[in-house]
Amino acid sequence: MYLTKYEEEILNGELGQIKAKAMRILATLGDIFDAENLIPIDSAQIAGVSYKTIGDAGLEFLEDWSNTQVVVESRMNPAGMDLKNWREMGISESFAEKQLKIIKALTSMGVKESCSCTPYHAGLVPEKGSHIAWAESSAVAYANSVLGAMTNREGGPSALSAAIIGKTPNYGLHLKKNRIGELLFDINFELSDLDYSLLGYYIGSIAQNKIPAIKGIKKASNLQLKALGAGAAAGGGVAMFMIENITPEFEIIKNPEKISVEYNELVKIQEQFSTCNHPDIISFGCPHCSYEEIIDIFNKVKTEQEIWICTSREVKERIQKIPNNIKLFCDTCMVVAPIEEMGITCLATDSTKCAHYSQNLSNLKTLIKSREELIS
Amino acid sequence: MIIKGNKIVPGIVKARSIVSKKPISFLGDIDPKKGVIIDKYNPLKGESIVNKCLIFPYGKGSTVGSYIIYQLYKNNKAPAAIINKKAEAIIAVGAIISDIPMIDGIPIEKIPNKTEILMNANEGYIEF
Repeated sequence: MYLTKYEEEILNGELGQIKAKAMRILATLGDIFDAENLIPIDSAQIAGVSYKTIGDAGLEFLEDWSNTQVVVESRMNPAGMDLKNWREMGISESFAEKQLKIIKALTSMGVKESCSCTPYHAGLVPEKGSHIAWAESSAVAYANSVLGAMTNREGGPSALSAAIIGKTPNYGLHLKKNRIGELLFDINFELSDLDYSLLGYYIGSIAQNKIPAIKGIKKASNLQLKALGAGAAAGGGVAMFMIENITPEFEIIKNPEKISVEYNELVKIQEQFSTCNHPDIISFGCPHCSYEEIIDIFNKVKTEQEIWICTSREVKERIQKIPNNIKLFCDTCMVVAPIEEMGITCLATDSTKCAHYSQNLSNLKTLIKSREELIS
Repeated sequence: MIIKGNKIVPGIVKARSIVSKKPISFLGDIDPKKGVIIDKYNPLKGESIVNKCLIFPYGKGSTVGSYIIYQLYKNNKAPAAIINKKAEAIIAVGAIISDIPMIDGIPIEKIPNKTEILMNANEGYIEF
C-alpha cells in the first residue's frame, strides 16, 4: 500500500513507538486487503471494551497504549457493566476494578466515555458517504446500510489504530464498487417487529460475509432496520445489507443467487432461541434502546416481572421516571456483561443477537418473543 | 532451502519450527499463561510454542486472539516468529503489537517440524 512521506515517518517511529505500531497495523491490513492508500475518517467506534471479552490481555494492551492520543471523535463499545450502577447489577468488586481500569486507559487516550453499540442514538450520526472506522457489528451494519456511511467491520486494535492515526486503509466497504448486493432474498409476507430480528439472523446465517440484498419489504422503520442488521451481523458476518426502495443504496450483481424466504424459517429460528419457558429476567436493548423505544416500553408495560433495559448514558440521562419493576442500565449490555455469573439461567429477549450470544458466550437458556408479548 | 514470502512484521530470527496443519484460534486453542497448545482437536496438543517458529495456515476465531498473542508476549511465552500461508487480521495485528517477526505467503507444507529455521522478515524469506 502506498504511504505518504509523513505516514512513512510515523511508521518509522518518528512520532513514537505506539503511533508506529498503530501505523503498522493500518499499513499491514492495507497490504493484506489490497488497499491502495489510507483515507481520513470522521469517527471511530472501538470494540473490545468489556473486561469479560478482552480479559487481562486486553487490559494490559490498552494500558500500554494509554499515553497516545486519538485524533478523531472516538467512542467505546459497551463495557461489562454500568460504570456507575454496577453494584445494582450484581457485578463483583474484582470485575469492576479491572473494568474501570480499561475505561481509564481509553479515556486517557481521548476516547469519549460513551459506551454504546448505538452511537447514532447518542449524538454521533455519520453522514452519508463519509468514511468511518467502527467496530461493533450491529453499529457497522447500521452505519453502512441505514446511514450510508462507509466502514469495514473493524477489530478492537484496528479501530483504535485508525482513531490514533485518523485514517483507515481504503478497501472493502470504503470503495463504492464493493457496495453491491451479492445474494438476493425475496420476502413475500408481512413482517412484525420481532420478524425483523428473526429475518436478519436467517439472512446472516446464509449470507455469512456477503452483502445480502432484499426485495419485498414495503415499509421499515430505522428501528426495525436496526434489529434486522443486528440479527444479520450475529447470524453471519454481515457488515452491510440493502433493501429495495428503503436503504440509501441498492445495487445487485448480475444474476445473483436468489433465495425465497419461507416464513417457516423464521419460526425455526424463534424455536432455536426458545430453550426455556420461565425467564428470571426480561431484557431489552440489544442493540441499545433509543429514547423512543424506552418510552414506548414504559407506556405499555403491564407485567410486574423484572425488566432490564440497556441503553447509552446519553439516552438514560433524558429519562425522568422509571417504573418500579424496570431497571435502566447504561454503558453495558447483556452480551458483554458477565451475566453467567449473576445467577440468571433463563433470559427473555426480543433480540436474536442477544439470544445468540447469551447461548454461545454465556451458556444461558433463552426465550425469544416480541416486545409486546414480553411486557404484557 | 530458501522460500520467499511476504513481510508482515520485520525482524531476523532463528528458531525451531512447530508446524500445525490446522488453523489456530489464539482465544481457546493456546494457553496464554504457559504458551502451550490446548486445542484438543490439534495433534500438537500439549506442545509448547514458546520461542519457537510457529507455523500454521492462518488464524481463525475471535478478534480477541490478537490480545492473547499480546498476553503471551507480556508473559514471555510468545513464539519467536510466525509463518502463515495466508495472513489475516487477527494474527497480523497480534504479531504487530507484540513485535513478533512474521511472514506470509509461504507453502507451509514444505517446512519440516522441529527444524531450525532462519527467518529474515526484513527481506521476506525463510531458510532451512
